[in-house]
Amino acid sequence: MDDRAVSTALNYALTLGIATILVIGLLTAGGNFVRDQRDDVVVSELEVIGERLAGDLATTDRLAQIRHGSTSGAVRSELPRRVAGASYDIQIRTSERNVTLALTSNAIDRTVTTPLSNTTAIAPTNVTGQPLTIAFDGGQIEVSHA
Amino acid sequence: MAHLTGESTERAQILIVSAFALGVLFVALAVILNAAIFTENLASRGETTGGERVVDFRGAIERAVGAILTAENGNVTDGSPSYETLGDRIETGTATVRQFLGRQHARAGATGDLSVHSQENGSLIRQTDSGRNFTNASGARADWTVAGDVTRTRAFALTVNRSQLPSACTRLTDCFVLAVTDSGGNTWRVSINESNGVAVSVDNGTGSIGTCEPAQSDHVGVNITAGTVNGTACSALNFTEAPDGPYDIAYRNGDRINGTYSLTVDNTSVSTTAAHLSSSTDTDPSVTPAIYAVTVGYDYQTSTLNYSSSVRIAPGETDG
Repeated sequence: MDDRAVSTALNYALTLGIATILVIGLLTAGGNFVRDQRDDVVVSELEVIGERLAGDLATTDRLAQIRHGSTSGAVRSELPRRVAGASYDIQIRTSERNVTLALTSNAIDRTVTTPLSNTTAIAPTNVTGQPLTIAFDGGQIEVSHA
Repeated sequence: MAHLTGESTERAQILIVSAFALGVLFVALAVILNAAIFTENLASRGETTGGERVVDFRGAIERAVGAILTAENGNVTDGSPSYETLGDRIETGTATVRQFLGRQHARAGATGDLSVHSQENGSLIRQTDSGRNFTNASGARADWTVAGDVTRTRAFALTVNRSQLPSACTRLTDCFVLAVTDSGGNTWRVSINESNGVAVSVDNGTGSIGTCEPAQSDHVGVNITAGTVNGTACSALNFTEAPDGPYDIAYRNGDRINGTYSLTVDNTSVSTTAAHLSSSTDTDPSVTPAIYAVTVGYDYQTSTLNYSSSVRIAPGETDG
């Protein structure tokens, strides 16, 4: 009889196999869950950052509008340097008085856009996400690193 | 390789590895949760740059210096001050405003500074005796030019005694008429008479006559530049429809109305050339030098913002 004492080995192999499958399943599901959550968090944080920058640009726009005579000023926009551990870029695109803020994180392959309508012209530019200075001096509003 | 029998320290490797991996997973989840919390925190913060405080500062300057302007122009008990004297007084007042506003904003961690940059001279024309009619200073002329060659007028207000206002006259004809006429003959006229109250009629030159709701009180305030009758807005009384300057402001049938009036114009020569006005406030109607407007420059700084601009202050001037 060659198949004596097989059940112990089989039992052991089955236990190992099932445990491995369960653990792999758990890790895969957990990994996917974490990745999905991270993507969601990055997108929503980029949205919030876009809204904050849009708000600061709108504030600057209002300040530039109440001018009389020579007017100058600067507003500091306190933006975080990282979103969920990864850096991000801000692109300011302008088309007449409509401005679009496009935010891209290096962590995910998506661009989040925030539209903005303004009265004072804003200079189109690309900046890395970090605290920014929004300045105006009679002409157009310029965004640069603080 | 784990042995099938006997004591071994290499057992349960899968469990250890998976527990470790799960641990890493939870740490990653915690980091992401932290980012999410930070996002919510960021999203729920209000406007942090403090832009509204600049507008607040500017509004406070406008109100305070405007009040000083009105008070100093009206305060001519010491005769007829020169424009320099008036300017000095306004600068002194502005320095006090600077002190108060600076202190107030310092409490909020901001510095605010302001100073008078320039002044526009003008004339203050007024009648303070409420029993007097709207004739010229000698009382001989009922049709007369109050101020000629005027580009801007502000704070033009009349207070009319209803009991002495005639009803037996035709509005815009032989009742009291205030006419604003430019050199091209374009005219904007306001007529006041008694008709179920103090009736204000406005002819803006387009052919149709606008009227305001008749006011019932004994003394009715008609604010020409603000467009109100007894404080109630009247859309027909719209000073922006008056011709652009330079224009003449004239009264017709000034003997058919009694009360007080006051207006500030940007013409400085009214005080020296007007034959119909008294240069002393003892006799009505009088004309005295007045600052028409001042431009105040201001700076405002906080940790997140700096702003420098100026504001032109002409209290009671019609917008547009």
